[in-house]
Amino acid sequence: MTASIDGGLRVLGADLLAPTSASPAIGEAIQLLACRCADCSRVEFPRRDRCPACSGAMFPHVVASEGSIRGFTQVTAAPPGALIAPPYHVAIVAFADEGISIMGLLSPDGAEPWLGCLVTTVLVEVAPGVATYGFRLG
Amino acid sequence: MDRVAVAGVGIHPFGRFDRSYRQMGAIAADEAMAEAGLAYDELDFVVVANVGAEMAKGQNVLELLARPGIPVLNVEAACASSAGTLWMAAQMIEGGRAKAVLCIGVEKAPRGFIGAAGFEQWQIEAGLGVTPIYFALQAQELLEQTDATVEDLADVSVKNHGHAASNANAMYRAPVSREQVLASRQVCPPLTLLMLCAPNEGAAAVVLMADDEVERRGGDASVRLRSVRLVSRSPDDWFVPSPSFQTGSRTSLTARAAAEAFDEAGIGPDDLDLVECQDTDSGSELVAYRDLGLCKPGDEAALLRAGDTTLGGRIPVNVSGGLLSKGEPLGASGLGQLHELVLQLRGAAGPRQVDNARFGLAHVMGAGHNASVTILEGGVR
Repeated sequence: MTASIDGGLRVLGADLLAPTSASPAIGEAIQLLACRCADCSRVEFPRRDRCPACSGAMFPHVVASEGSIRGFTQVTAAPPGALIAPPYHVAIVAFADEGISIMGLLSPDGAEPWLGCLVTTVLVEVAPGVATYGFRLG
Repeated sequence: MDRVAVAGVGIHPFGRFDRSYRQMGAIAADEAMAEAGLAYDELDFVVVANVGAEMAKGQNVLELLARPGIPVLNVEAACASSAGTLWMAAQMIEGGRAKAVLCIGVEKAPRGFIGAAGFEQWQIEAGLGVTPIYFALQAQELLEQTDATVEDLADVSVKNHGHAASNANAMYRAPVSREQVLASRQVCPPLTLLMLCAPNEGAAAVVLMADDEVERRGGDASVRLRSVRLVSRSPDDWFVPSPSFQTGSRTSLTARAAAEAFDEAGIGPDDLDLVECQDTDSGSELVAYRDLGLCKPGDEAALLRAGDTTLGGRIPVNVSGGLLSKGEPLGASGLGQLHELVLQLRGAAGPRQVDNARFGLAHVMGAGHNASVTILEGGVR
């Protein structure tokens, strides 16, 4: 289930992604690869072997592509070790079917975020030649 | 818990210094030991909290002071590290395995964002390994779900800086205005630079002793540890460095630690006379009001606006200046809170003395999902 992304693109957290095509490009819709507990149905991200609530076995679960913004902020100073250049937006997105909220970058080509707005999970550029998952408005 | 006495406290100011962490730790330790009237070879155990220094840090601090040949251990639980020392020491004394334990917290943190907070490499490279993001999202949620405003966030910082004016151990002692806080650089909106604490350097130390041992030696056993509780992550807690949470069922580490601590001490929030809480940022202090039971959910800003948490109010919070004014030497911050509570409970806090202080609470919370609540009682005879 690990993402295989061609084109020389280095993908941060590649094993967290479920690409919808063989070689997704920047801006293309993707899905996140989480896990679901066989016993209590709880969804966790990133993936783990054992459920933190009931210790049941966790199986891979692809998260819906669309979610809604539950919170957002902006990073204005360069954090140590980050490849992305500030300023950039970060959001936490709620996925209704899974009952989980996941933090990620906001795609810089989208509109200004607001609480409750719908987003799609996409591949976003972190730096030239480097990508990870993120969220785009609309 | 009522047989563990705080026999001595010591502190090295919080700030930036041309001293090693070993020297700062030694200065705080010597002060606490002098207050307790103890020689190092009269201790049963030394336990040292530190996050970022080398191996065997406590042993290296002690090497500057004495070679008592007793067990020395180092504990780490991020910003809750020094609460871990109290937790260990209190249980050893309560269990009868120790009469006197020296707890030291010390840190010499680099400037800027706190690194190595447990983030995965992909989070760091993607720019998601940034602790203020978590505080900003929490603050935004508070503003959305309650009547709190950005002005209230600014006023927490104004209050704590006002308290720090008389605290010679604080890094930032100049008063700030609401306008200055709001106009300072945006770090992670809605949080500005002056709404966030700065990691820095410093040390604090506490000597815990069995009450009968203090009395046998003719010392002062009037300040007692009534509770110290330490909690880690439950399934639905959310904090640094986790990239996700369960949307509908998020729980609070702080609330759980507080409930356990009140239960152990046999008192409730209304019995408290003052609180030192983890004001990593202004929003965290307001959330702590609710989680520690100082107000109902939704009344956080009202408590602040009424002046209840200001010195002279019903339940003053962070009269030391808090982390917003003192800065946060990670391994030392919790014992720094104890230092302030002990001064207050002895009636020795000078211009920032809380009148008739009997019960004080200290709260820390750290990366990796750690929280601790400690309750002290003064004036015990």
